[in-house]
Amino acid sequence: MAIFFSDQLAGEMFKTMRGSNVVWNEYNSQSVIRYYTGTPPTAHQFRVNGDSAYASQYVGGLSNFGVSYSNGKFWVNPPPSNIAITAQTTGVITWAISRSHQSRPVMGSVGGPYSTDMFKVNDVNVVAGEKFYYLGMELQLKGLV
Amino acid sequence: MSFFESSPYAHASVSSSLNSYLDHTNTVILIMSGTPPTHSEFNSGDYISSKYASDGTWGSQILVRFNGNGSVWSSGDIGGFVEGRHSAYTNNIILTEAEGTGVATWFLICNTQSNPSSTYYRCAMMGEVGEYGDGKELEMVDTNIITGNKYQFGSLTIQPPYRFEW
Repeated sequence: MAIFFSDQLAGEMFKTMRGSNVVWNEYNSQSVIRYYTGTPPTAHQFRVNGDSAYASQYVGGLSNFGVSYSNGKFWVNPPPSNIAITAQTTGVITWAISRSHQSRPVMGSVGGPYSTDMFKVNDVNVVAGEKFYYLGMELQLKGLV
Repeated sequence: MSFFESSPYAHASVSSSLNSYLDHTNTVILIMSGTPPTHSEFNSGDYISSKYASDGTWGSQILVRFNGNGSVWSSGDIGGFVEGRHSAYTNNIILTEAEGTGVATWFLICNTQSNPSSTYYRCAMMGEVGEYGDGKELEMVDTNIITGNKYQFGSLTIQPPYRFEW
């Protein structure tokens, strides 16, 4: 057994991720979501190695949005203006990173519209040159660790 | 498998809020006996402070009660780049008489505020207690607690996890 945090405490702990120069802002032109195929690194490895180290796995992404927070839950608000993304490679999207501060990415799993994943797209199976669609980024952290 | 993971750098902002919610004269650390609650039991039902009240679900399981005495958590992160660690009671060692007899099996750290509208009301963490080498989250020389004997809390380091899976 690991330490349990109550759901309330877990949510409040992560609340500080949304703030000026932290991880996400209410609105920031530098806010990005970047989608990738294959096996994810750790978020720490991604930060150290940088975006370019994972260029061969990069599918596409979007920017210019804000992240709202309430009662332990984060979500993109308002939605990004352009949710159609042209895939740069063929494969299965498995992970994504998000950030509004260059050095502070967070990472999550990607799934279809009805998945429980942090990032949702219309279809995780993508073909180079064809479009896929952002359907949300939502995170409600539970206390179980 | 669905997951969320933060980098240590992002994480520093996360762990700092431990100071906001569990760094008060209202914070209490309880050493408990019996079977620890499940995650679901921990989060559902009565508010935390109601559960460890004398007539609450966990009321009869309290062995030692360390009441907050000023700053619970020492300031800032330690360990250089390994951010997100917070240590407790390094400046506020408390000597307390046990109020129960039994074998310590789990601990509870929570805020004692009783205002239901307060965010603090449900802020709590818990883990298991064992003897040195047991690999539990809180280790003691001897987990056999005796009423009236005095116990002191040396230090505690919490590093909130980077990765959450569900």
